[in-house]
Amino acid sequence: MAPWSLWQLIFFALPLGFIFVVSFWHMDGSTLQPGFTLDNYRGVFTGGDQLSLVLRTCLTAVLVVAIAAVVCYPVAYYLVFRMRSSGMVATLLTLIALPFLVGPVVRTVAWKGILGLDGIVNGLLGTVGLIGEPLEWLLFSRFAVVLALVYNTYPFMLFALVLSLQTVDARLIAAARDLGSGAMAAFRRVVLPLSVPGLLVGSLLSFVPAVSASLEPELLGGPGGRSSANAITDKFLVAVDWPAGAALTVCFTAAAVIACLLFGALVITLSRVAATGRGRS
Amino acid sequence: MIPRQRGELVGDRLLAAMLALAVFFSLAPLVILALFSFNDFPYYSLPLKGITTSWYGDLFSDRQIARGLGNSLQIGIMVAIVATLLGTSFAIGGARLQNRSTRALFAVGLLPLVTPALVLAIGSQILFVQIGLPLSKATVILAQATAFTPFVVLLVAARLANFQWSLVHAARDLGAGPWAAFRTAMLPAIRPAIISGFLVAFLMSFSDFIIGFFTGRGFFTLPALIYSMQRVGISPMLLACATVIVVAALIGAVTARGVLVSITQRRRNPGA
Repeated sequence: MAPWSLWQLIFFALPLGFIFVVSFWHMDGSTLQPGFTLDNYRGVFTGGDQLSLVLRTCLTAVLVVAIAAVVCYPVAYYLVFRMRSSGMVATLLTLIALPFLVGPVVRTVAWKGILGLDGIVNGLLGTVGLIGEPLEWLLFSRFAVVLALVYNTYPFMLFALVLSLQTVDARLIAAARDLGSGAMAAFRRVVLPLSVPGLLVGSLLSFVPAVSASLEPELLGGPGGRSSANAITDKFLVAVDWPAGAALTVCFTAAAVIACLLFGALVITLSRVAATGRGRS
Repeated sequence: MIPRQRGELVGDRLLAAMLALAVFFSLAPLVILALFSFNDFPYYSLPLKGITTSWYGDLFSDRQIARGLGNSLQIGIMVAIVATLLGTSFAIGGARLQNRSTRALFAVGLLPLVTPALVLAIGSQILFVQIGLPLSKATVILAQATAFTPFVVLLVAARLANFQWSLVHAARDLGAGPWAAFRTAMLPAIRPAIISGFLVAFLMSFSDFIIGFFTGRGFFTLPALIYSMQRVGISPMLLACATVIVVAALIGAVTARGVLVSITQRRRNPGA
């Protein structure tokens, strides 16, 4: 295990440590000067829309994860409890995971043409007569960003849910049914509580790319669609103010961790309420 | 199978429909992209005018694309090699030494999975500049290997979870050295996972944008090239280029499928 742990120390721990350290440094003209100043953090908290941008980015990511969970749960349930052939399950999972493997640039480019004014969605809706004018809000909108981010992250959620539902002993469900509970009750009281770890892992794995995505907001979000990732990128590559960018990154990461913890607590509470009909068990 | 009532059959159909929708949702954008790469119309938009392969001709004769592809292949193969070596040895070590501290170390080893690529990219850039390493292909390889090694760890570890260690012990008892025991007793069992890990690491590197954007200077990877070219409009040649990447991902996914079969089989109906 030693080689990877050592590698991590140098190329993982050090970079993260450097972000933290540099967030207290300052720029002297165009050169980075070591030191200790809180000005960069002051800049984040007072400088215009930085903080609200962080908040909005986190909220968008939470929305994306929630949609992914709602979409993936029934699919995962069907794959695990209703399909007999594991070969078929694996094939379907591979197909569903394809968007993840093609990478962010190809995914984003694909959506840009599909959602555009002359795109295939507007074309189809127009042809069947559902709309007279092309829908303008499809592209360069919050809708486009959320859609593309769900597309981007839901394979993570699905995989986590499938793996966790597979550890649920199907005989427990049968036992609950034998003892007279209905299908929904058996689901709420047996399956759902046992799958909470999977829901949490899936949420974490899909939240991370959703909250830090930069291409989707930049290319699909339009003028109001910027995310924290875009603001951070600008600080490093346009303004070339590394300490300010580092401070913003630290604040962004802290906010993302808090949002993630809150969302996890929400998932746990909701599943408890569903299982027992009340908040505490 | 769970005994079912009539009403549940309706529920089952609904679930099956959701599954079909999910598969459609995943594939449709990529199929549409590929479709338009054959469209005889110079924009990524309707109308569909007719079939042409001329955009692929443009693509394969484009010098810049060829250079970008060369860079991406070079970086991707190096990242895949490094990640496979690091990830496989780590997964084997983690599976063999099952005590509390190695389990904690194993969890730490997966941390890059939950670290935003953007944050790692920024940190790596600062690190490389501060220690005086010029940003180049080499720095991209270092940063990408850090981000993508955990995928190899996960795949190999999943395969090792039901490995019979007695095989290795038997090989050692029969006089095999540690390396020979690994090669003859363990490698055949985990080879599919290693191959999938290599492919996934390669594809992650091949399609990465943000890490290369921050930690490389003076050259274009294929995704960076597509990113900069799409600013002036998505040309059909870009679609052709993207379609080639989709096909590469499809080949990788089909190869990794075998490992998924073993993971989904093993945990089905536990205790049954």
